[in-house]
Amino acid sequence: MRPALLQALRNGCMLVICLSAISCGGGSSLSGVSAPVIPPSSNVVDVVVGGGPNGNSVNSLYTTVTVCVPGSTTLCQTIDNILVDTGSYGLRLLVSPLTLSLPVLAAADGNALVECTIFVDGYSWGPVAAMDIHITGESASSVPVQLIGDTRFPTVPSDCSSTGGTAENTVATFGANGVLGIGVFLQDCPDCSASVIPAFYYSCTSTACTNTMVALASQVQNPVPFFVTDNNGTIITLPAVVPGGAASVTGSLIFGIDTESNNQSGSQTVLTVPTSGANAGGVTTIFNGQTLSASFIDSGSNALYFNDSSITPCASSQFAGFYCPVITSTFGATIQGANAISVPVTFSVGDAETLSQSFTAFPGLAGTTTVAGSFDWGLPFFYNHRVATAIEGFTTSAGTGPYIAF
Amino acid sequence: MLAGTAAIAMLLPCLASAALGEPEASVLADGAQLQGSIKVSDQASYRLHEIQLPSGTLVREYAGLDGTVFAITWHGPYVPNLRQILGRYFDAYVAAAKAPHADHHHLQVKQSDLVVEASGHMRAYNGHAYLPQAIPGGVSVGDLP
Repeated sequence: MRPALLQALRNGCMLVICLSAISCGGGSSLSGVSAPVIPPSSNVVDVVVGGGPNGNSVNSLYTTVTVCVPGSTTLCQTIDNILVDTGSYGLRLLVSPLTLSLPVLAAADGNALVECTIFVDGYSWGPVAAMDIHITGESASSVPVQLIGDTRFPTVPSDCSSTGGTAENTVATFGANGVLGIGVFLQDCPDCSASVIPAFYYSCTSTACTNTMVALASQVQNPVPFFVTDNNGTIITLPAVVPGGAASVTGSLIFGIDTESNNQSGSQTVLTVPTSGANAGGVTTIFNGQTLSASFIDSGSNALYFNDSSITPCASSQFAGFYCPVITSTFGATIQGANAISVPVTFSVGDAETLSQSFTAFPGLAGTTTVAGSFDWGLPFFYNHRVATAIEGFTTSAGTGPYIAF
Repeated sequence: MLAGTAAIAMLLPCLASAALGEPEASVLADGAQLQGSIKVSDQASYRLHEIQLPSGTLVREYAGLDGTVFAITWHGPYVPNLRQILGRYFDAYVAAAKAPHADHHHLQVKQSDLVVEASGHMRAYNGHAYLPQAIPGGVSVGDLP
């Protein structure tokens, strides 16, 4: 067992990472799965489900990005193990693998602009710096990016850490070298341009930080709209994975929707998403006769999370919170957009305790949540799907973002 | 001036005491600390205090007939100050949550005396925290709005 698991068990808790026990990363490439061949093109980059930098990730989708000092073609660095996340907005890099010297952006008062990024399970702290981003043939100039764990700003403000969870300021605690947030929205905090939002952006000297407003242009933001072409959204396509799982899975992240021959909408169904409100960016799921209006489709979640008391929960404490049906079962649900269009979907739930420890991709991995109205369509949803994410305000042949289509 | 300072210092521990597991009156402290407006409504087996935060997030605190807050939920674009609303349970929650992983959009801490679950993504967060042993009979946490 891994220390993280032992720690979790000692605390009597259950967490997603408890699954680390079933995955040691890597594994034989012979049992890897590859997506249907998409011709190499300037708008396609490989995405891989693998063990990640710590070797213990499960159902985590990674890619590689190259970043440069703004305007430079030589002061550049290529960084792998970047999480691909449709549930956040903007590129965030852990500083430990980073060797480039990047200037920190200024807050409105001239001090350094530093951000507290709040995830559901914890928070990440670090300054905002501009850099050029290159992914496959696409380039984005001077994009604000968060540098997580920058030692120039060592003290996390108490209202940031008071949002709870784990401090995720190292590769070990973050589970990646960074995260590429390519969800439906442009910026991570549009409200911050109009008022001071607690525990979000800060103006910092070397010794003290105060909450501050930030103009939209200086906020950490989705890099895709910065691309010269193929900038209206993304498509993630992953192959089907057998119920027993796979050591690794390779698929594609395609930039642009209806901009090239390889990113056509075709017959995909468009589900628009709310731009604001309690479920901004989310969908509604109808499951077991319940209407779950706090649902979302998210490549950054490593399982399907929903509540169904009829499915056998895992008995062992190390898999607490996950489902362990004796036989893999298939279920039906309906996902509905804000445009009242709905799509029937099926999904499988397997026995989490029987998953191979050398695998990293499990299509049947599902866990419980009793958060009211929630159905989290995590990475298992993306297997055998082609999921398009159209960015707010951008148009495709199928409609205007923000929407999700599959 | 000195007397005034002393009075404020004496008040602070009261204002800082948060709601989960505390008497209902602590909801006022949460509302003040979070600069929210509070609406109260009586249900059959609990009293619901809704704190609307200026950021748009809605915090709901549920007090049983004995006056103790047994559950809290939050929905909205920003995670509220959980140290404030979880109070003395905050440290136990953080300690239990510590484990490195790459999934940043789901959290579940289940202990015999404390459950914290959260779900969501950037700009839309949902979560709840409750004390399993303090839930009034007939109340199902999943049904709490």
